[in-house]
Amino acid sequence: MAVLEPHPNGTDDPAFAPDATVVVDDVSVWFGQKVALSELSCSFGPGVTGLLGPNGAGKTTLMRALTGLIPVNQGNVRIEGSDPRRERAVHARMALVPEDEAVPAGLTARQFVRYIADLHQLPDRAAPDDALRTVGMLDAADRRVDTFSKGMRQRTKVAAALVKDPHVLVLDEPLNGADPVQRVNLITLFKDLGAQGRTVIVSSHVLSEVERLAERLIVLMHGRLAAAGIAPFMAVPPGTVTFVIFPLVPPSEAGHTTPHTSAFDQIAGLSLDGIELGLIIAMGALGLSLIFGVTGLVNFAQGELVTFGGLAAWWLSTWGPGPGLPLILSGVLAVAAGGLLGCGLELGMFRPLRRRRTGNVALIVVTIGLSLVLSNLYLIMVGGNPLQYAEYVLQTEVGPGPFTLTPKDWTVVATSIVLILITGFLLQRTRYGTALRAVSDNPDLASSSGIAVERVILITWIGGAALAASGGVFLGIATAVSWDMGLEMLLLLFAAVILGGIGTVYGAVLGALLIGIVTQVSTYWINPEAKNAVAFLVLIGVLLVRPQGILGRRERVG
Amino acid sequence: MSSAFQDAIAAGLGVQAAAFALAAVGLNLQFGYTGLLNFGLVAFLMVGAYGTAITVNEGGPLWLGVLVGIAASVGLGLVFGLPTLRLRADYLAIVTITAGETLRIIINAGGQNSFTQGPFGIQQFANSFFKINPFPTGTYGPGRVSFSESDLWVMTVTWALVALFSLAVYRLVRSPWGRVIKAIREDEDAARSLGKNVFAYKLQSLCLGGVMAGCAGIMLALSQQNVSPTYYLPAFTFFIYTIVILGGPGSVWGPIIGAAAFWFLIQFTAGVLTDAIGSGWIPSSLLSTDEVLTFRYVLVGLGLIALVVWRPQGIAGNREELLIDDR
Amino acid sequence: MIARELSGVEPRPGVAKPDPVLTADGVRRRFGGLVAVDVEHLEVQRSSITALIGPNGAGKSTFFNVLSGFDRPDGGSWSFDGTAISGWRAHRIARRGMVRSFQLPKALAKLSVLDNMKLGAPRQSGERLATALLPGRWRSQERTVELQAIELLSRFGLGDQRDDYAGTLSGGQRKLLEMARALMAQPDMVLLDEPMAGVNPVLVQTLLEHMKGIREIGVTVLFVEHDMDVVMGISDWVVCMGVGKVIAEGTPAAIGANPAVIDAYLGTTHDEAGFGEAETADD
Repeated sequence: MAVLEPHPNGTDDPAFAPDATVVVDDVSVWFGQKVALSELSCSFGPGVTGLLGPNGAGKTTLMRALTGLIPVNQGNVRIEGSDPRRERAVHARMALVPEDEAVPAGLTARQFVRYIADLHQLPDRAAPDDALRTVGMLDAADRRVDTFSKGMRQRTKVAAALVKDPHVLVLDEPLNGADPVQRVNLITLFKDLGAQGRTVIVSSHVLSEVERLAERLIVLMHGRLAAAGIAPFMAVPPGTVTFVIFPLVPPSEAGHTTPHTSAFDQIAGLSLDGIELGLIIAMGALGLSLIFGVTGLVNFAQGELVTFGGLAAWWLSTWGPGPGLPLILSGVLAVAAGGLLGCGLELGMFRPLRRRRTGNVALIVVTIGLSLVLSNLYLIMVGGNPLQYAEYVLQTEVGPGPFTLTPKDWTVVATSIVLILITGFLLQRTRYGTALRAVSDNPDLASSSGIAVERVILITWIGGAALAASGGVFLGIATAVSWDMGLEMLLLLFAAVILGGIGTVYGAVLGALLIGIVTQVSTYWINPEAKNAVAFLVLIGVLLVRPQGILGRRERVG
Repeated sequence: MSSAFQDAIAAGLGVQAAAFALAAVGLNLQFGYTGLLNFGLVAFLMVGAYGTAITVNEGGPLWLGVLVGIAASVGLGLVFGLPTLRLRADYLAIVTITAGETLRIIINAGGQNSFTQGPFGIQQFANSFFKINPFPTGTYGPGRVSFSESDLWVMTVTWALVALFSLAVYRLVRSPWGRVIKAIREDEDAARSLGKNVFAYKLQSLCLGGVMAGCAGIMLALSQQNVSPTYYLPAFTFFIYTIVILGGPGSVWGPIIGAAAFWFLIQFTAGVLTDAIGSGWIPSSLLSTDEVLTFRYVLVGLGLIALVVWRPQGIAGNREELLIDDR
Repeated sequence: MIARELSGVEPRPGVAKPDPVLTADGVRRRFGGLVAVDVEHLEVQRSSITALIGPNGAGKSTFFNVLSGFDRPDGGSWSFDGTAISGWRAHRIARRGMVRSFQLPKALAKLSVLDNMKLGAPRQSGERLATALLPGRWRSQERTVELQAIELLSRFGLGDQRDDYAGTLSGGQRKLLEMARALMAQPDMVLLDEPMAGVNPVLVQTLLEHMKGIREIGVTVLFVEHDMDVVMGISDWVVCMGVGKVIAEGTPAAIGANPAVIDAYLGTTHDEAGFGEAETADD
């Protein structure tokens, strides 16, 4: 994983390639009031360079500036010494493959590439076929591009770019939407092109893929250079201590693996991150446990309720042409919306199904269907890329000794603790809470004692969904939101609930904290991509050895 | 419209449908007949595929790879079953889905040079399979319902396996072994009180169904000449569940009908929606052609819910014998 | 004949029997703080019809569950026909020859009556996975089993329903089916858990006749029952449990007059008092 350390200015600065062909010198670009690039200096050379950053960081703007499609307001861009805006000749040696480009309908691959070749008046009649062969599309050359899969279309576009044998090749998110086979083929292709001595610039938001593809990495944030390095090492300009770019990499990895801190410090830091993660998990786990306790249903769509909160808050905070609603308000509204969703699900789906005496197995399958519907709707609505809230993105960590977090993370920790305490209070001291515990223990007895079981269930669904939504908001604050954030979390939720004891509320919180800590601290030793496996092994172990978990009761099980 | 229809027919007959049918035969045995809520089915496809791919990648012949893949499926069945079959249904679901994901994460975490080759997966290991393809080069079939010779080869082998395993299930279900399984599905204690070793039967069902799923994984891997961890996600298992329930859980023809119908409907819907967007019926601001693929899965989810609520016996299932209805 | 054998046995809890088929020692089962079963010693006479009575909560069903392997005790050992079976799993005990029925009849509703019966037959080669795939290997055994099943069904008056789903049978018919199915295995002992519960009086007589019938062929019957007329009418021996212990044993006549038994039944109307006493006694 990436290692951060403050870098000495000057020589061997990884933001600058030693044999640069593309030079970006103090470039600023703005559109009206919106600054897209801010005093950016870096350079690119032969081989593959990865350009990384979240949406809105300026990657696309930079690429369009490099290829002369837009002017720079300040500074200058040089491609092999020439200004792409003024000297048209350099365009013959450079090609851009934008992310979304419509191909004229009705053309076959060969026709399309020939069309591009003719546009550039290339003399070599064999160039289109050569280009198609290089990208492995010669067999399909006579098929229509609109019958192609996404990956094949990408390769065709790359062929169209290659047909003029460019020295500089700029590709905007070329791996987006490609399936694993296509990804591998494309990665191999780009590496080959880089090995041929071309300057290949590839933008992406998937760190792990670009690390394997690129020799150098340049990271943009808010139009500025945030980090650069020879993969896998990244150097950070002084002033930015930690940052969150890739939601796949929670803040902990970024901030704590400096070689100057002791093992204790690192583990302490990871533990604190684990506590934050655990509290976020606890929000979803509470809901899961409450719903199971009251209705006996294992809700496989719980993750989607978490995602709902995160996405709703993001949407509200970026709403409309202006800056959107402030994050705190968005968060509160998102949680309320989550509660509404829970209400709707209970009234519209689960209550009628209970009335029909639908069996437990069938209900589980219904939640599976619900998960498919919701997660894919989310994917359609917000796309496959992770998204960030507009505010509070770049902060420095604060805290005693090795126990540091950014202020927004401290907020997450504090708010979640408050929510847990409120929930605990509601369960212990209110009528609803007593009623809920009665229904959990013995629904028939509870209803014959006059408890309105159906109302208890409804309140539980509303509360459980609202808590899950708040978990999504917190997760979004801590890292980022994406359509599948809940899917990834679902098994962690199960792990937490089962470890702590299914049906017990304090168990859910305890289990969540333990899972969070264990998962984060394990990254000190093992590959962070596998850290969830640790939690899963705990889950499996608990189910086999002590299925009632830490705080659960034996009789509820099996 | 007609092209969407033809594409749909092709999908209902093609490699994907055949392989999913094979996996569904296995899941039907585990879930439809025995009542095991195995949510980790995709892991069986994964180990079957990886067993084959790794063996060939390390230099072994393909037939050995297939044997290794099948053995891996049996092994996984034992690993899944021995510790967990005593748990009740919802716990079994949680454990199996988690175990499958854990295995996938472990495979993915291997580096490029590990024997699983981590996220890169393994490619190009099926050449000896395609060398023995008896069909000469060309496309086979009328109009758009046509397949290349390699696809046709894969389809032939896979559908043959589907037929073979379906026949075996048919035989088993009508035998005394099948009778015990039916009893176990309905009431384990009753079966125990009659001297039946319930645990052993469940384990056999899990392993046998697992082998079928493993074979499905092998065929898919051979046809794509690729295995990679990102393919074997839990959603895959849920599609097979949809197929089993659509076709009719606990029926012999169910998995076949379900798989063909599933792929037909998925492809047809995609075709119709794409045409509708293309001709303007559906504004592309609402749904773009790229999103059509994802929207299919929304429909799968809705379809699954509708099936379970209104017609849990699917197309070919028997309402009286249904497990899924039980409280 | 059995009555004669048992007439000389002293009516004392834990008394030895002339020819016991089942012997239990120190069987204990607790649920949390509650002692459900605490049987110091019990012997059941071979080929007898022994009734197990006692108020609700006395531990009878739990005792059954432990003996037949459906529950794990906290201590104790018991042996069946000379073999120690404590710790054996339920299906193994059933195969050994001790078959049980359940309070809620477990006739498998989704199977036909005939299939239910066939399930009861032991040692069927077709039930093994490998052999099942080769019908030739089990067809003839299946035919034999079927004949045996049909014969038993007609004896129990269920012959006409043999192809119907067991779910269509009445409650009483299902109890008959359960009993007939238990006999398919030619067991040495049957444990019947409230066989008459919910059965109409006419069928009760039929069931009783069948119970006597299987005693004639040497099967031992241990049954839980609440109906005192039934118990007194058919049993050779009666064991009375209270708060988990065996509080009295004897012939029906001896039990009927036993003050401890009467106490136990009267005492259950003051449930808490009864349990409270048991717990302090245990301390």
